[in-house]
Formats: sequence, C-alpha cells, structure tokens
Amino acid sequence: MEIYLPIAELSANWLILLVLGGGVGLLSGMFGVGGGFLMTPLLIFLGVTPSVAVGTGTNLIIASSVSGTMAHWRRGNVDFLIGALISAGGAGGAWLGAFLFKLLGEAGQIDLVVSLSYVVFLSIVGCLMAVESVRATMRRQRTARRKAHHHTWVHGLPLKLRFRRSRLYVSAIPPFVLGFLMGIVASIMGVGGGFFMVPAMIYLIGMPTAVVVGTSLLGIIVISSVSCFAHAFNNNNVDIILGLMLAVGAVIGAQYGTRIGGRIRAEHLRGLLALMVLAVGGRLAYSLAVMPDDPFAVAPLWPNP
Amino acid sequence: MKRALRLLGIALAAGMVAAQVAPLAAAETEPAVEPDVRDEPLLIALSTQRIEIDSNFAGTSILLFGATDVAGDIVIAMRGPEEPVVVRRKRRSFGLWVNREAIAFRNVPGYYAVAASRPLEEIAPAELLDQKQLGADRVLLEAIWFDTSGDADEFRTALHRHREQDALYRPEPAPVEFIDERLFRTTFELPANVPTGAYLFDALLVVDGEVLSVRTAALNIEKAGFSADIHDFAFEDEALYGIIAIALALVAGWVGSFPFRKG
Repeated sequence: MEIYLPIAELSANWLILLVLGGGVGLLSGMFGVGGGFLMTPLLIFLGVTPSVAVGTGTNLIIASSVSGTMAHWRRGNVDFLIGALISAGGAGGAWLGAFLFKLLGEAGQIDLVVSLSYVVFLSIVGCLMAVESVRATMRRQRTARRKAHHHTWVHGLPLKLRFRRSRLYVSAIPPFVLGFLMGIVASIMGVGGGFFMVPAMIYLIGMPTAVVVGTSLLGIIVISSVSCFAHAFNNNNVDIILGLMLAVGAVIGAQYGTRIGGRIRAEHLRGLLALMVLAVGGRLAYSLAVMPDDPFAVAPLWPNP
Repeated sequence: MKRALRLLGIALAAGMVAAQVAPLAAAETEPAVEPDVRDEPLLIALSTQRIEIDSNFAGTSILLFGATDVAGDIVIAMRGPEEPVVVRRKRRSFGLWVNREAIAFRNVPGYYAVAASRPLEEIAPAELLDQKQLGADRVLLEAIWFDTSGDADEFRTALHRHREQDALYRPEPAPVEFIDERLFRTTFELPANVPTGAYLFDALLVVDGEVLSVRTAALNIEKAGFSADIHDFAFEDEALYGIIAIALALVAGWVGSFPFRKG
C-alpha cells in the first residue's frame, strides 16, 4: 500500500503513516502535550527533509489541537479574550518565523537551526521535567500549596484588561508578546509550543490552571494555521497527504492516550515523558556532533521554481 | 540513404518488440525520425518522445536507434534539464558540523549519460571531447559564485559523486552496438528519481577524430497522476493550497474526535 508523498517526494506505506501518527497521538494524549516536538524529529529520522517535516508538522498540529480545544470549550475552560490576544501576537510571530525559515533556507542553515532549536528546547524541557518528576516522587506526601495569585512585575504593565473567565485584571501585553514568541518558535520548529506556553501562562500571567490548557490550545490552532499557510505560501513545504495520514492516526491515538494517561500517576508520566524528550534531543545532538559521512551536500540554487 | 531509412524502420519495429518497451506509455509509438532528412550520413530515432512518471514509476530505459552511411564511430550524449545548483561543505565549528562553504554552479544538467561505440579516448582527441562535453567528467560546471577560499574542483568532484550515487550521471560510457555495418542501437537507463523536463540527445558520427555529422533528438519527461497534480497545485497556487491544507486539517481534527465524544 505504497503512497507517493508529493511534497516530501518519497514513497511511504500509508498504514505505517497511520500507525506512526497513532503512536505519537497516543503519547500526546497520555502526556497532554501536542506531539509536534516528537513528530517533526521522527519525520526527519525517517528521511523527510527538515523543511518538509516542519511545514507538514504545522499542518498536523492544527488537526490534533482542534479536538482538544473542543473538549475544553464544552467544559467552559477557554478564555477567549486571552486566546484572542495570544492568537493576534502569534499570527504575526508565525508569519515572521516562516519568513526567517525561508531566509535561513536560502543561506543553507535551516537544517542546522531546526536541529539545534530542538536540541536546546528538548534538553531544557526534558531536564526540567525530569527534576520535577524526581522531586515529586520523593516527597509525594508534602503537597506544597502555591499562592493562587501572586504579584510579579507583569502586573505593573499598562493596557490592563479584565479577563472574566480567568478572573484576572492584567495587562494585555504579556499574552500578546507570549503569542508572538510562540509563533516564531512554532514556525521554525513545526511544533504547537504548548510545552512552552502552558508554564508561561501559569507563572507569568497567573492564569488559573483549569483554563490554561484549553486557552493555549485555542492559541495553538490559530498560530499553527497561520504558520501552515505561511509555510505553504513561502516555502512550499506542506505535504497535505503526509499531514492528513498522520493527523487521522494522531487524532484517534490521542483519544486512547487520554484514557491510558488517566490511569498512570502524574509524576511517573512526567518522568517517562522527560526520558522520551531527552532521548529525541540526544539523538539530534548526536547527529550534529558526529562527523558526517559526506561533508558535501548538493541542492538546487532556487528551491522554489 | 533510402535504404538506410528503410532499414532503420525495420530495426525500430524489431527493437520495439524485442526490447520490451511496455513500461513506456503505449500511446507514444510514433518513432521520432527527423523530418528533415537531407543527405546527412547519420540518422537517429528514439523509442519514445515522452515519458510519464506516475506514483509507481521505478525507472525505465530508452532505446536509441540510428543508421549511418559512413563507417565511423558513434558517440551519443544524453543531457537532462539544466538548473543552477549549490554545493555546500560542512566544517566543524564549536563541536558541530555546520554548512560553512558553498559554491554555486550555473546550468548543471540534472541527468547525463553518454554512449559510444569504442572507448571515448580512442574515438576522438581530448580537445574535441572537452569541446563537445562528451563523458560525465567533461560536463562543464561553471561556478557562478563562491563562498569559500577552497578549491572549486573539490566541489565539482563532490557534485559529480552525488549525481553518480543517485544514478543521475553515468561515469562510464554505455556501448553502442552495431547491428550490421550501418545500423546501431544503444540503451539509456533512467533511474526512478530522474528529474522532469526536456532531455536532449546529441549523436555524433566521428571519423578519424573529426565530427562528420551531428544529429539531435528530444525527449520530454513529465510527472503524471494524482500526486503530480497535488505537487503542481502546491507550487502554482500556493495561497489556495495553504488554505485547503488548513481546512483539511481542521476537518480531520473535528471528525476524528466524533466516535469518542462522550454523551
């Protein structure tokens, strides 16, 4: 059941693509993460060029965040005003990111930047999660309560708005800037960026945890849509066949993953995820550090006819 | 010359059957005989003028037949579509292997193969081979910009090596077989990854190290089928393609969660 992927320009078995999407979806459902940070490196390992892996990744993330957003929306866990601010900033960031991607591609450095971004982000996130998981396992009884609402420099910024759903009165600047940064990261790495946005929304803006995931997912839909469009428009690297195959698998896998995830202890889950994140990051770091078989690479001078 | 033509027709018909031209699309059976047949001592014809690449394409071969009135050597070069190419070299910096040097070459053929009735060096002097770019290692690779202090020849060699690894350049000439004194034939192998575009055949009749006659033939390789349509769509109407990609993903995400919706 071979299918030719028109943009990736290689043949693949569609069943394998469904299973691959399902596997990543399962993990993302279990751990409550987007899965883009696993899928993009996996596609690169499979021989898809980093450019097509990132472009197609943005497409996949739209699909996998839609079902999650709807589930949270039904429970009323989406703050649309903050979501709109994140989206507005994110749209700009995503467009800028895809443009930077094009410039880096023309300079022949995009493969390096993509791999390096992954190594840096995955190591930081993996280490933080591993530490957190070990700590939580060691003192499970002592549940330290955080203050529900603590004041930081963020609360001194102007342009304050009242966010009903989050029960907050804070400046509109942090969500906007956060979205903007997220957009750049999303476009360059082909990720949704929930792993980066969720902690920032909790600790920086001070949003209640219940609303954070649904709101960040809403932002991710808009950001990955703009990013997908910008990549298709500027870089011609979105493979809809590949994206759809993976998306169908991922959406179904995520539903099962959520159920499995509910049965495993949270800190163990986080520890497992940390190991996985570090393994992917380590594999990418290794391929950057080890001497290549052939130091020369050949590419068309104008990749876009 | 009439006799040669008739023979050529017979040889082509026989060759078509014998060499199993089945993978080449059945519609293209008209042999490409040059319309303007003057008193040239050389004639060539291809088994097809158009090759379609669909999603099952696994490479093919193309037959070239010819006839000559004069005893001599035959050299045929096949060149694929040309495009500018950049060759980059990784260097180690701060512990990482990074693209650091580059040279761009103008008009690099995407495919190159040559066929000859004898080893090229025995047929013609080196100057002539260079001038006509006969042989993969004589393909002219003109550097148009440099981002290196290194030797351009290293980059040229690397480009050749890559193209040979991809079976797009054939380093050794293929044999030209004489069926009798006048008729000859040869086969060009095209791998699954041949670039699409216009291909040109240059056939030379060489006698005593001098070119007596030159004939050309053309071949077009095109993508066909559903995948090709999507590829063209993505490159020709980028904005609409982007919007459709988003819409499909939104629908896939929405529909995909249906069976699992609770109450």
